[in-house]
Amino acid sequence: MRTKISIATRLALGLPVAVFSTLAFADSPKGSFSDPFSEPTIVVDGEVVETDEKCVVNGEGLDECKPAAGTMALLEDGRILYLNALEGTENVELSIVAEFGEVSVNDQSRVLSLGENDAAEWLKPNPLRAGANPDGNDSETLLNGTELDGLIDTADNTAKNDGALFCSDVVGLADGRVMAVGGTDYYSEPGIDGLPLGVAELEGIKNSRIFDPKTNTWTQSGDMNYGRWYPSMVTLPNSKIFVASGVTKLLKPVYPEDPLNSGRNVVQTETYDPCAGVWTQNPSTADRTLPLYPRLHLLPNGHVLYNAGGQAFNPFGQGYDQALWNIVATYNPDSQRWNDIGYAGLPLRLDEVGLGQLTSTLNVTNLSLDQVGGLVGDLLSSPTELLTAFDDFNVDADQLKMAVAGGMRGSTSSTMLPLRPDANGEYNDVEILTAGGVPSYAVLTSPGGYLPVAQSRIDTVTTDGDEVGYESRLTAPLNQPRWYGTNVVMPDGSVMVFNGGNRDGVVGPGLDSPIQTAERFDPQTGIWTEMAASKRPRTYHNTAILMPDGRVLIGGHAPINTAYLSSINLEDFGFSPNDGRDPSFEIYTPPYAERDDRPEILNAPNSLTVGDTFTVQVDDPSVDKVLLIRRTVMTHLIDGDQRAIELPIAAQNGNTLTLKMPGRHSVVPAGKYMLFVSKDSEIGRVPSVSASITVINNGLECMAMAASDTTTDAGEETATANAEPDTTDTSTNESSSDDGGLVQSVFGVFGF
Amino acid sequence: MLLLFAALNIAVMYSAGALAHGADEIDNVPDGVIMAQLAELPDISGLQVILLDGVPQGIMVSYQGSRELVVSGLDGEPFLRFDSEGVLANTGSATWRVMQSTDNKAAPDEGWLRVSETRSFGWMDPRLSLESAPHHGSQPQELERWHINVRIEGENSDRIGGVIYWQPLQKTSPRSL
Repeated sequence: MRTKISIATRLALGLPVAVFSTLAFADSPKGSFSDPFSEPTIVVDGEVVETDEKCVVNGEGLDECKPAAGTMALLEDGRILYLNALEGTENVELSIVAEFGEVSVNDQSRVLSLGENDAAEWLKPNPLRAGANPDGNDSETLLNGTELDGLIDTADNTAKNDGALFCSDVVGLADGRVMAVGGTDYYSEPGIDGLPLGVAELEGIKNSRIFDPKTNTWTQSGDMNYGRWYPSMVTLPNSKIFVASGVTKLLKPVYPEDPLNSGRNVVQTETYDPCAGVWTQNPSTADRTLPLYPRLHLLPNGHVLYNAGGQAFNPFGQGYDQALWNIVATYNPDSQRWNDIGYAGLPLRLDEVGLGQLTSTLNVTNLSLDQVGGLVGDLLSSPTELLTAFDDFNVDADQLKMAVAGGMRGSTSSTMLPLRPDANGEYNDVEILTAGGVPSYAVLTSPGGYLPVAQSRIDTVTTDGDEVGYESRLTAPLNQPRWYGTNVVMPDGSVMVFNGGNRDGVVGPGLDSPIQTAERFDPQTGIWTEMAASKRPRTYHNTAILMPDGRVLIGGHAPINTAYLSSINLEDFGFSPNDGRDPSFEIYTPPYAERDDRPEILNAPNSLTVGDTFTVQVDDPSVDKVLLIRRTVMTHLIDGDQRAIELPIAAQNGNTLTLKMPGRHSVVPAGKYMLFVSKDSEIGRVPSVSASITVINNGLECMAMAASDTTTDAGEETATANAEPDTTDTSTNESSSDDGGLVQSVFGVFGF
Repeated sequence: MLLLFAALNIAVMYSAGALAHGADEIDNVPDGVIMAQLAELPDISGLQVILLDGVPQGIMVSYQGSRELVVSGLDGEPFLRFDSEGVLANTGSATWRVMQSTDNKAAPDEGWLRVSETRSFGWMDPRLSLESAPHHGSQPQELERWHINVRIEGENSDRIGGVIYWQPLQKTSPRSL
């Protein structure tokens, strides 16, 4: 039985909110993790070897290893596409700095299927490594194109590592295919063929590669105008793809022909037309300096939000203009212009939870609610105001800034909480959760530090047409500071965080300790609660995705070699097991999935579009909430299209629910989704297994319309969707439906 | 030119440090950095200024006043205009040219370009830093003062300002084995 005690009472008792929340939830079920499982075989010297080991030594004395899921994508049919990370680094003998450019190999891909009782099967796509740059990449070396080309670099010595999937971003296209954009070309510069004495370079590539789940094949699509390593993509309302940031050369970003772009990330943005397969560079008004893998979200008004988060290779950042990464901003695809919103984390609304977080962080032990009562509900717009407000309590300025932890946040998830309709059925506001990671610490070593924080913040972004409002509030903190945790929005509306470490594993690889205890955030209470612990440590490049049945698949763990040397295992000293990648997966079963009274969806449409009114049949009349969750396509903590949308129940007749789709693709971009229904219970919300839903963009010229039926578990036909004209969508290239009614649609044979 | 200088400096630093991140750089933490602090803020209703964390720092100005606000550039020229629609930048301004990452093909040669549809704008301003970082001791030390002129339409110029100081850095090395 959950015990609820108000934050005010906790504060009055002088108890830190986080500690109290742990006590209050101590008897709650925590869920469970399955035993790890991994691919049973490795191909060594052309032979398939069955082994429980991660790696097997081949005839040349090199390790051949099973791929680890550094990237995961949930396909429409429930299978999981995953991509390896840092392939080949297990063969570093002395220093990854010197040898990275030579030993690394283009990463393999796999498709994992989970059958009855989670029986796992693996399939190898074709081409296995996605096939980019088979003849080598035209690398951006300093002497490229001159007579001295190749003299002091190894860019052209092999094509085996000129098109790695590692460090690309991935996006789910509207038709369910998965596109990987960017990636890595490895070489040494300076460096000499055959000598492991150079300095590695990781160059971002221009390639786009598309995986088709119907054929299990990779094909090449159009190249970007800029090579990008660690870019971020987000699907726009019109189903075009926006890409920002990335760096062309990670370690020595010097471009003689483009000096002002040297020493920083790619500021130019581009847009991909999925029908034409072409990237177009946006005008200079769309340029913006951003961290690597910037945390981007599509807002309900069609703008793209940069939530002042990303990867910065802390503590010294990655660009001479990194101070601007602290600014929350939106990109308007119509005007192709960025708009500065404000300093991340400010203005800060000090509600009771936030105040409790501040006071416990600052260790102001004699603070009572009476003393700070004037602050509750106040809105503080700058650090200066905050300092003034706390002046009476003799709080140190740096302490206070630490507590607020505003500005750019590195190495943590930026998670959009479920979108909820307002009283008019409109979706205008967004809440985004940022917990843990490394903050800027407001002053030095910006944009990040070595030690992560436990601090947790919700940013509320309000939209009214092109107008955007922003304010923040603090929630109760994580139960422990966490670097590189992967968040998952659960079908009960909560958010869980999995894995990561207690130190920045990029600053000091292998010198971090894994965090295996998952935590669950309840948006209703603003409290994080510790849940079950995973079986395997997974720090850098861990991944997690929500499965169609409401469980969570976790994988990955591909750390950088220990202290940038080789893969030394320091596990016995309490550190992360840095003995190479972990190819295994685990399945987390949350408490609700262990119940035998979960509601069930008996039938539902398999495709919908914006504005549709439709019905679903369930087995339980107590179902009172419906959540449409986009299938996860993620890497490096990011999924720019991550979203869950609560659909209003327009009518309920026994076991039949009449539901309403949002009216705009800016709320629900076309693509592959899962529909969950849920009911309340004494332990919280209990969701169903999902029904698969494709959201159609009728305005996308390469998306064909055709009549279809709806498929139910029992194979019944229950046509249920009614189209309404889409008159509010801000997207372009949209044409209103003229089919006069039925919108059961499938993708045509044209594809794109 | 200043940005080019900064870019090349960083490039050299990266090459010398062998790796842009990781253990090597932890051993090469500089003794300190040049920082700016905000100390003067004109009494203009609706004006807010935040210095942005970073090395070097940036500045963000938000203005919600009813009359137009002009921010002066490096040579005293009009650089930014905050109006009711957002923020415009003078593309003929020397300060604007310093800020640009490209040859700005899509922008007009000279004139006012809308750079934000909100009434906030952040930028890297050379006035917040020094071209060279003199070596100083283990204590913070004031080096110079900085200021950026602002003017409300029809009124005299006022200024945002503060100090530039030396901030010694502590090493942030990972714990040793």
